[in-house]
Formats: sequence, structure tokens, C-alpha cells
Amino acid sequence: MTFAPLALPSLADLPGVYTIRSGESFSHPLALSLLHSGVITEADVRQRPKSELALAQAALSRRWEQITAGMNLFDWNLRIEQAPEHGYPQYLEEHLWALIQTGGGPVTCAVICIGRAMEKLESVRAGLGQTVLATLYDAFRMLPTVCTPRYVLGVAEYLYWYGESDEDEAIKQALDMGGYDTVEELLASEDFFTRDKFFSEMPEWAAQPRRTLTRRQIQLAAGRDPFVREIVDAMDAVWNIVRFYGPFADVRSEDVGADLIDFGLLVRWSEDDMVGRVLDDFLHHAQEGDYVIASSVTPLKIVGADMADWLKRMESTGMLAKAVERVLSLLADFQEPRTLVRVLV
Amino acid sequence: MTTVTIAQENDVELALDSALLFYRSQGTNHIYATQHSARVVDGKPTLLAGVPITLDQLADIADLAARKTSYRGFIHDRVVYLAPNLLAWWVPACTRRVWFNTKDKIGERAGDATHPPLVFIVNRTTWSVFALRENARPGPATKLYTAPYYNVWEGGEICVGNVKTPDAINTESIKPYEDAFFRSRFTHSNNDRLIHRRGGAERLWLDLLDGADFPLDRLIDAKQTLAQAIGSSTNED
Repeated sequence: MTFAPLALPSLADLPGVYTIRSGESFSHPLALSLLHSGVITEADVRQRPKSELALAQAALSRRWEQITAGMNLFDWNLRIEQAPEHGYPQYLEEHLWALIQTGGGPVTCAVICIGRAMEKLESVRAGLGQTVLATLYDAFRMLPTVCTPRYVLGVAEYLYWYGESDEDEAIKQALDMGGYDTVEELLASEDFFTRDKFFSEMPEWAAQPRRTLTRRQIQLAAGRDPFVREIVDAMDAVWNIVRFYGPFADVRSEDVGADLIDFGLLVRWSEDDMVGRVLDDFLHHAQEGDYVIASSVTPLKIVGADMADWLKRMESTGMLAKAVERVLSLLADFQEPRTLVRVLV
Repeated sequence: MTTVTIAQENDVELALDSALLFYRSQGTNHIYATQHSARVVDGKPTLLAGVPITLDQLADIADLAARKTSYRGFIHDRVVYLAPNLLAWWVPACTRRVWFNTKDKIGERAGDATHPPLVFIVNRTTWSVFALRENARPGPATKLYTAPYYNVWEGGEICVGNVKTPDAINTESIKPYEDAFFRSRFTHSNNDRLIHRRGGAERLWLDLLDGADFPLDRLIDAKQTLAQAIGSSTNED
């Protein structure tokens, strides 16, 4: 007779979970694609994932962590979903959508104001702030949507001014339809959004900056001020990444066929600018039509190495984003040194 | 902290829950069953201590299984017996087009012919057909007769060959089974004794294709009733 405690019978070779796949399920081809393209590693499989979905989730989460590690301004979360059935012709059933979105939904991203820092740059050398901003905007075009004064001006043109650069055409139409005799009467009786209102708290170049200075002029300015030096060095780092660390993921989300209503970051001139008002109107308008809650949508083929290639490119894009964050952090943190007042006692 | 979400809401995930263990003795009908919870402990599926299963619990399990295995729906008016994986139905005498492709005198021929009343019995592994003398819905005691068709074995089993049969056995598969039987070509006889008459089945079908009435009184006794035929199918099942 033995008094050894009974061991619980192990069913070591039995699966802990069965998954009943529906005909529309993409977890199997996705897991297969990630396995064949090396995104799912041997270690992932050895951990006995409870399903193909869990396996794909674990592998993608690890890669996404690597891409976003160290980010402190951009809010990038990855969502993989089936491309809509009735989308554009190129988005066939065998495609997935890789969406980048904020964790908390539209406009829960971080907000930074750059107006004071830009004014400081302009005070060191006229055109310096504008040149830095123009370069930054170029970098933003390579990232999931960043809401900037330029972006919001485009929204205002689309939303209020029939795609024109100002309100003239919209006023003409309102006069024709609304029974007003004069423009003044119209503006007095309706909350008509004008270009002047948009730029009441910021210069026009905040939305449409140009590179007005040469590299030599910028270097000279950097030599005169430590803050400018920091900005120029940080911009140089951005440039180096763009030049040497590509290719980058195409996150422009063109031809999605719907408004994107999420942003990785909101860059404002100041808290008093008109960005908030325009965005409110835009979100209200978007929700009456087709919209996608994402700052970026990339269609990817389920089979093959599309997903793995995209993740690889996103590593470069992530690196670029972190370099851009460095510039933005400097701009956001800028405070004019306080003037010390000697108090005589 | 960033997250990754895979929006896959269509899959149904079934987690390991419990196990039934059966203990039986060789050569007797005694059986003992225990129900065990099963959990994943330290990443390994593990069987926890069990309890004897009661008749009530067994009934619950049988009910759950029956929901998946038994037919729910309107009853087909020609069905005479229905059980999980077993279906029997009858076909009244009728005139129906048939196709032949034989090496005997019938050769390659198609045409309308009269048919006797028939009973089909289908289970998971076999598909049989018998003839009836009376053109009426058969009961358990109804005597069965050999269906005098080519491609039918002595015991009534139909040689399926390359004919596609339905994937499931339920009342919705009656028409597909009948189509598979009547609309495929009869090619050869699998049974020397299909009908009591000079010239056998070959002469019978030549006459039937020429418009003769079916000679019900010439059918050969299959030496079993409908209940016995279904019983043997049930045993096989």
C-alpha cells in the first residue's frame, strides 16, 4: 500500500482550447502568414498559445512594443481588422486593414502648443520658426495623421469654404440662399467662420510655412542661441533618419473612402487658437458620413509577407516618430526665461 | 503602453471544461461513469477529481447531444422511420424516367418506366432499397421484397459507384437520394435473382421501357419485414 499523494492526472497532449472558426475568420491565414514571414517565432509557439488568434496577438504585440517603445507623445495602438467588403476595388476580401489609433478614441491624443517656441525662433532669426515648421510638416506626412494648424486649415476649407482658401465663395452662396442684403448683415446674424478668425491667434505661416532660410543661415542662428542649437540638432537627427533609415511604411491612408477621425498627436499654436472649434465641427460632420476611427489605415494582404514587410517598415517609421517627438518636446517645453526683478529693501 | 487588437469576432472559443470517464467490465453490461472538471494548471490541461455521474446528469448530457444529433423540423410525409443517422422512407408506385448503360440487350437506353412502390433505408454506412407489394405506406410488419434494379445487391444495398450522395442524413436529403438513385445510369446486375420471370431483370426492364405495367406479383420475397430491415440497419449504426 502506498501513501504517496495522488498527482493530478495531466492531459499534457490535450489542447486547452478549441476554436470553432467561422467562414469569415482570418485568424488562421493571418497566423500562417506571420509564421511563414518570421513574425511568429519558435518561442511564441513553444509557449502553447491557446489559439491561433492568441498566437498572432502575442507576436504582433511584441513587435508593436518594439516599434513604439520610448514614445511619449504619439499615441499609436494597432488594430487589425477585416477590410470592409464594399470598400474600394483594391480592398478585396483577402485584405486586412492595419489601423493605428489612440487608446481612448478620437482626440484623446496628447496636445502640445508650439506658438511660443516658434515666436522665440523667429525672434532669433526671422524665418527660422517658419523653416523649422515647414520641415516638421514634411516629417508629419510620413507619420499617422498629426493634427496641425495646416491640417485644420485644410479641414476648414473643406468644411466651411467649399474647398476654397477663404470664405468668399461660401459668403456668395449664403447670400444667394439666405436672403441677406449685405455681407455685414450675414456675418452679424450667423456664426460664419472666416479665414481671419482662423488666423486671429496665429500667423498665416503657422498653417502654410515655407523654408525661407538656407542651411548656412540656420547654422549661424544656432550659434547665437542654445535653444536654437538644440532644435537644429534635433532636426538634423530627423533628417538623418529620413535619409538613411528607410524605407518607411506608407501611412498616408489615401483612397480609404472615409474620413479618418483620430490623430496620433494634436499640435496647436496656442490654447486660444481656433483648432478646437474646427475639430469639433469636423467630428460632428464626419459622424454623419463614412468615417474610420484611426490616424492611419493601411490595407495589407492576409497571405504572403505583406504584414511582415509593413512591420519592418513601421520600425523605421517608429524611429522617425521618436526623433520628431524630440523636436516637439523641445518646442512644447520652451518657456521664456522669467525676467528677474530686483526688489530693493 | 500601446496595445494590439485583432478584431476577430467571428470565432468561437471553447475552453477545456470537463471530462467523462467510463469504466466497463469485459463481457458484462456493467458500466460506471465519472465526471471530472478539467482545468489548465501551470499551462497544462489537468484532470481534477471526479464524481460519479448520476442518471439525471446523464440525461442532461443525452439531451445536449440530442439537440445536435436529432432532427428538428417538419416531418416529411413519406418518412416511415427517423433516428440519428438513420432514415427510412417510402416511394409510391409511379412512372419515372430511367437511364441504362449496360452490356446486355438493354444497352444504352433511357425512357419512362413504371416502378413498384419502394422503401429506402439510409444509415451512416449503407443505403438500401426494397420493393413493396402494396402501394401503401408501410408499417413495421410490412413484408419487403427484392427491388428488381440493377446495381442493387442481394440484401438490398445499393452500389453507389461514383454517384454523389448527400452529406447529411435527414429529411432534406430524401430528394437528393432519390435523384442519385433514379437519375444515375443503371449499369450492371449485382444479383442473379431480381424477379420471378423468364428473362429475369433484363427482360423486365426491356418490357417496362416498352410501356408494360410493373408485375408486382413477380417480386421476390426479401424474407424480412420493414422493422427487421431497420433493426439490422440500427445494429450496424
